[in-house]
Amino acid sequence: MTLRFQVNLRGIIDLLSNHLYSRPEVFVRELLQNGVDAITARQQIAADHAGEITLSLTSPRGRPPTLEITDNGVGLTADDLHRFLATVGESSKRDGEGRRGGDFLGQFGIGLLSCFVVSDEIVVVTRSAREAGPAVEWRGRGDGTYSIRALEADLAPGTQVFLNCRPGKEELFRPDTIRDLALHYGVLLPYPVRVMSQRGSVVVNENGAPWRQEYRGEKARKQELLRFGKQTFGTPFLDAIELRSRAGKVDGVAFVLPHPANLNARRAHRVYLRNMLLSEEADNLLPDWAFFVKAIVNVDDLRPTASRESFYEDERLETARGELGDCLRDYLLRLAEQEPGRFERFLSVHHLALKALAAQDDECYRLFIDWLPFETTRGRQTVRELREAGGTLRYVDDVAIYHQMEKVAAAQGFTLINAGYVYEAELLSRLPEVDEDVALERMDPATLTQEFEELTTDEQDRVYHLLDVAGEVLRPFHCRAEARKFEPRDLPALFSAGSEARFLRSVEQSKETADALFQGVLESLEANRTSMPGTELVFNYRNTLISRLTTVQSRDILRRAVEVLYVQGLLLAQQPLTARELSLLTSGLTGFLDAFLGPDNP
Amino acid sequence: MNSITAQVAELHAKASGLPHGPAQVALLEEAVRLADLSQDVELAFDVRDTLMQCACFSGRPDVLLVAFAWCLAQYDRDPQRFNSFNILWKYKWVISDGISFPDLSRARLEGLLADMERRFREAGSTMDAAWRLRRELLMHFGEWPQSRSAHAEVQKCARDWLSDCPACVAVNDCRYFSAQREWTLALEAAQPVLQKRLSCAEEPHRTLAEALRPLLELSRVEEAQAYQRWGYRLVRNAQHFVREHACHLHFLTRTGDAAAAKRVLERHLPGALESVQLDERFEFLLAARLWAQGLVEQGKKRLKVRLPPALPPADDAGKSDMAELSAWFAEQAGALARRFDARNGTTAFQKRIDDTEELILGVR
Repeated sequence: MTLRFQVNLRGIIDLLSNHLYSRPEVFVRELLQNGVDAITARQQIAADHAGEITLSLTSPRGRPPTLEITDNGVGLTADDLHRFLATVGESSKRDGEGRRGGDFLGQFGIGLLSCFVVSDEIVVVTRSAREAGPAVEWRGRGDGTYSIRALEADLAPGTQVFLNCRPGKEELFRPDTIRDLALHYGVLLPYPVRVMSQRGSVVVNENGAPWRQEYRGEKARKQELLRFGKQTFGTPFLDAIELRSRAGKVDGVAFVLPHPANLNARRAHRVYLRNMLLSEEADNLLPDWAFFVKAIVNVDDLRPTASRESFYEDERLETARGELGDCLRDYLLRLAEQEPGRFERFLSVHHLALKALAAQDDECYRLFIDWLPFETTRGRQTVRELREAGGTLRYVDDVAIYHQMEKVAAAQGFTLINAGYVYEAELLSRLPEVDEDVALERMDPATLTQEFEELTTDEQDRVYHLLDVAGEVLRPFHCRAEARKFEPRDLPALFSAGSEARFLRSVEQSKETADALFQGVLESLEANRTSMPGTELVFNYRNTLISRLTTVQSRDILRRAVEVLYVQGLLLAQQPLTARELSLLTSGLTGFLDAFLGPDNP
Repeated sequence: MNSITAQVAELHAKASGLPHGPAQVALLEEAVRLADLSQDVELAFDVRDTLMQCACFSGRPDVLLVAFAWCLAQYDRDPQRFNSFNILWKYKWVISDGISFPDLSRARLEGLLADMERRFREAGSTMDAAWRLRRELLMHFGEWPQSRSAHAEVQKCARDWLSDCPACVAVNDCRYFSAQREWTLALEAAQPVLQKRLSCAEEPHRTLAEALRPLLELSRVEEAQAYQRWGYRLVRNAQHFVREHACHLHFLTRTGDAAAAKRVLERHLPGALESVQLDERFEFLLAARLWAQGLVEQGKKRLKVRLPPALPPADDAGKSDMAELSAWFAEQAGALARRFDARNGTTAFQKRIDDTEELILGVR
């Protein structure tokens, strides 16, 4: 004998309300969706039927408020009503289309079920437009029992749902809340969604989708879109860009964020599916580089995934994404060509977005590269300014090196470009693709110091002894010694290290503190890197201290001086000292004391 | 706040606005140097903690190891002062990243694992995460009976606060079964991520790549193609997903999508050759070999391919000799295989090469 479980509906609802209905207010969405489905079904019978949905709130004194949702859709028969809760389980999954098409009744039931989260009893009064017959009333309770009776009143086809506020859910039954929710979910619906309460009656979506309206002119249109953006997202956006794609039948607006977008932020756009809110966090409808906008769109013909946060990656989505990307690109192009002032303003906020776009799209690279700004030792400069200045464009692709070298480079009077942030080095290195004549050089600290003025043969002779001693002192530190002439004059020596060298310094530093196990591990790491790291100490021949040192003969004094200069160079380059380097400073200073005071003097 | 602390905070903030990658790592390395200058050990520890996180997700295990060694030493000196969870959690990364350095001897690698296990045990772990790492290590060595015993141990351990996130567990299980050609089990392991029930910082990115091979072997190509499109978008702009790029290249090559395969190769070969994760570079070279040799077999002897300078140069018409390229990939993969096999004392990497050559013969 087969038995059935006795399931307590109330218990299930309470369980589900914590999971399935992540937020209690989804009952408004579900009820609206029920209305929309019913109207769609009726329009299949009578194409020109004008739909309407009304949410009516009554708050009698001393009694719980009630909400009544009325649609003039296809309606239900008594048979339908008997069946719909029975079929709930069979169709608990949306059909992947996000559309609740497959089983209209089952979906209706699911939608209704969500109302038990906010109401202990649900009353449905309905009359079918398909079959002649009386209106019927269905009265369902949270414990899973229900009753049905025929009504005598001659009602127009459609459905009314009555909810009684459960204790504790009063917040959801306030006129403002209901109006906001109806607006939120149904703002794009192409027929009126009316909210009635003691405050009066208002059609929340009176204007429908603002981008589908006619306006007096472009200016009025833009103003209205921006107002809508501010109302919807609470943000005063910089601009509004209309979006349209034939593939997937997408229309909507992308709002330009008023602040730089964090590259790591999730791209969350508000997406409506066939005019009902699908998701506020749709993440794959726009191209990756479109992180400078927040979009609100309606999609008629793309497949959402079950999570409702993305669309299935198929060719249609890819085409749609391409078309939507084109809308944004065309906007940027028009701005650059026709409204340079506004474009500048856009760039000052979103240059990173434009860099991302140029890096990923060859055509955009050609179009926008000249506009892109870079940090340089002459301040912020666009690629066009840099190219027009002529000469070789020298850049470093490492922020740390840039910071290390920028002051010295500026003092020499030559322009160094910081291309250490995302996309930047890649963008610069591709410049020859659009300008064959451009001379480009990637610098590292060693090549940079090569740019400093060389010593004459005489001067080289004079500095020979100093460099000889310095070489000896610095060898254990894998550092070379050099002499050049550079500004600022009061800088006696410049320490420079490329990224590889910096990494090896950090290995040394960790080795000094690590236990035996990790010392071994770190040694293995060094073994992998055979090439000589390029650290250098460059003496400044223009500096008075250095020129004095060239006259000193005593190797001992020179040794002490080099030790101190090396440590000073490290500190100026903001390199933390290893214990061994720190002891150099001590020994250098001790040496000088000895020289002044004699070795035995305390 | 003194000026160094302020500078560190500024670098920190800048870095947090960037995607994972070299620029982010460079900024944080600079922040570490400044923090060290300030002599503020706690600040230096915290900045390194962020650096480790970013290094791990930017394909820089070398940077991770160096920072970790320093932090662990500080932690051991004064365990009360620092958060032990951070240290123990990241120790797992150190082991699985350590695998990718063939210069790190097997004895040292096992020493690290033993040290980590000891610390986990002392911290009261169920050893779930530790057994998973041991399984990963044995899997890398190609020692299957031992690896299966470790897998059995994993099943006995309850999850705890040191366990990998469920999405990462899924992808690691998928890899484990795939490596043994247990395609159905591999796919089953991947399902929770594929169905979007689980996700994390790097999921479904990795699973979507990892599931391609099992789907292909099970002849579920159409399904796989949908995952391929979805998954490739997630890893396309991040250079460090070298293993995943290899999976996509392998898949596109074998499903005959020549144009897409070539684009993936051109786009990701430079990154693969620069990657310090040599085991992942090895995977990419195998996929590249399969791709190039496949074209040779089809009679496409010369082809225009955008290649980094390290490769054999193209002819005057800008076309590359595919047989020459194919040989180059094989040679590079062979050199890496020898280094890994020598370190591991096994022949697992050579076996992977043999498998690829067998696939090529199958195509022929």
